[in-house]
Amino acid sequence: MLKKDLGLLVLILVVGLVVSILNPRFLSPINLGNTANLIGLFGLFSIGAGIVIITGGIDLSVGSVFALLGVVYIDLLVGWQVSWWLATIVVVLGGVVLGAIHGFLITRLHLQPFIVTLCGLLIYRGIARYYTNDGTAGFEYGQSFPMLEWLTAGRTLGVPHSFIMFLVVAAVMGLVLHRSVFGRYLFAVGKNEEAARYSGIRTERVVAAAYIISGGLAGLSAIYLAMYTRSISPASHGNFYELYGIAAAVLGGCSLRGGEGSILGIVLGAILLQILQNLVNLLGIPSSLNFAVMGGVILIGVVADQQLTRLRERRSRR
Amino acid sequence: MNKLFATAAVTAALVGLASTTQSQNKKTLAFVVNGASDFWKAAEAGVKKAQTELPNYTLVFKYPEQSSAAIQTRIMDDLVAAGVAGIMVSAVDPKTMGDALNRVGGQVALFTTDSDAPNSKRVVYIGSSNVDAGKQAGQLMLKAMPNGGKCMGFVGLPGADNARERIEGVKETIKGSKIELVDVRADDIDQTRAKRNVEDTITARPEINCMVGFYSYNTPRIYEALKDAGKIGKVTIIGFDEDPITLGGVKDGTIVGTVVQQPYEWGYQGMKDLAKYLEGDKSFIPANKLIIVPTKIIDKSNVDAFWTELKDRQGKK
Repeated sequence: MLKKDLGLLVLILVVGLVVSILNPRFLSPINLGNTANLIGLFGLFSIGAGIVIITGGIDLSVGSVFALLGVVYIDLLVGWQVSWWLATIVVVLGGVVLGAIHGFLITRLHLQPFIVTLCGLLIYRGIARYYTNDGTAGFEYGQSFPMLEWLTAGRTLGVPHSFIMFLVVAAVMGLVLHRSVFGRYLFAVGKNEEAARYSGIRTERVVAAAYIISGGLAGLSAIYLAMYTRSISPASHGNFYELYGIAAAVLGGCSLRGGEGSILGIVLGAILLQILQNLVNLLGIPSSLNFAVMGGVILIGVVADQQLTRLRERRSRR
Repeated sequence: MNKLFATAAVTAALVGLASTTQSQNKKTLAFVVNGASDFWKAAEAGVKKAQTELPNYTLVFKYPEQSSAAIQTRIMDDLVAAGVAGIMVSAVDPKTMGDALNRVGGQVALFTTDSDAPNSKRVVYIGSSNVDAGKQAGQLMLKAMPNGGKCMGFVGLPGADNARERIEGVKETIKGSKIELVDVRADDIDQTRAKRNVEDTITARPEINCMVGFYSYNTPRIYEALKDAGKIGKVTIIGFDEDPITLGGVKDGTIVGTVVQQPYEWGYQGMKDLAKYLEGDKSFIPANKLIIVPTKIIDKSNVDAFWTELKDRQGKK
């Protein structure tokens, strides 16, 4: 565990402690379950965002990907009556394909990741809105898919399956990033792409793979998000969610310059963001202050972390 | 060969597009909405119906790419530049769009709908009274909870006029009764947050025994969160608008009732009145320049009839 992660964990514990003193229901199993569910929903794509950031890139398109793949998913289930597992495969593959397109444009045509994924953000939302004719895609009243609902929105012993999925994905990606050769390549490319290329790494493939992972995870999250809201108005579904992913990754220690970051950090970042949203409701803080509270606590945490690090460095120098 | 075919198809499509937007000699009337949603589909159906009765006009229906005042203003300026004769608009933000609305109203006949801009150069407002809608929801609450209750409201944008007026109407009606609207939680039109607000309320405020969904998607999110928590039937639900989940809940009795607006009538009446106005007939305009199309209470007794009519108007069979 890095010191950065430790600092974040302490911040989460402090915030959690304060909230649970002010409202003990924070620690009630139901609330922890609900919050864990949202951590799962937002954490899944945060991992993808983090992987891309580690290579020195950025993925701004995920929010729109949710809108597009979400309406496609619901249309496959409701309109086309495709079996749910087939629809799920189609949508996850859809995410992979979109990621591959981003990777191709960035590595082969040498476009900037910011531009490519910004265009993705605009294009996918546009297509999603065109697809439903600006209407809302949703299930009929009483329509249910027992198995799919159990897998996505169900709970076992109070633990939401979205959270379990998130932990599984985090564990796998943790192995990939921190224990595999490919993971070392990701860091190397992010730190210094040229040096990595001269040392024999096929950097283009590594970068493209990062976007494919991000796209695939976005496809997976699209399903979980769609099954959570059960209704998608493509004009607003997932708006700005890419920022939650990027914020979780950066909070978790990923450097926007690339080459730094850890899966544990991203997981903790995602947890902190959702706890901050939860506390606004639990403490009865006016909803209008939601984002202000989020920004305030994060800022205080980062400043405190920075000061502590400096103090430690000064002491060790003596 | 294929390429030739594609080019021909594209050309044909472009020509078709051009001919529909610029048919000569006919005056064009435009209906500009404030954002994309199913809600406006019914208004679109009303406009289409009006089109069949107004053969001398071309009616167009415009959705802005985003619910932003700037984009909506651009659309209206473009329409004026293209030579439309009249515009009916649901302004995104009537308070800050005064200049834009006056500019448009100075050049063409301008009606407002849905959200009014009383201090602008608009000819007339045709739409609901959201205060009345709130009062009707308040009546539903009084009827459903004769012994009183503690209610939590859920809304997208609490500062928006329609939300404020609906909340005001509810509060006015339940004043003096044993029913209390404790708080209204906002979600900025993010449905994930809308559902989590309900979940968090169930956890944080177990004394809440009634929930009100002020925006169309709020009521279904309330229904689903309560269902997941096994609290359907223990909490009284009252809604606004006509989401299919809301109507389904009204039908099977889990939702007390919902208050609906009549966007179909806005589109239909609005376009016909706009044509009348352009032909010089101003007799339909009341002194206060407000034509209120009443909102309706939908409960178990009339939900079936309403739903059939709605599906027909939204083109969903």
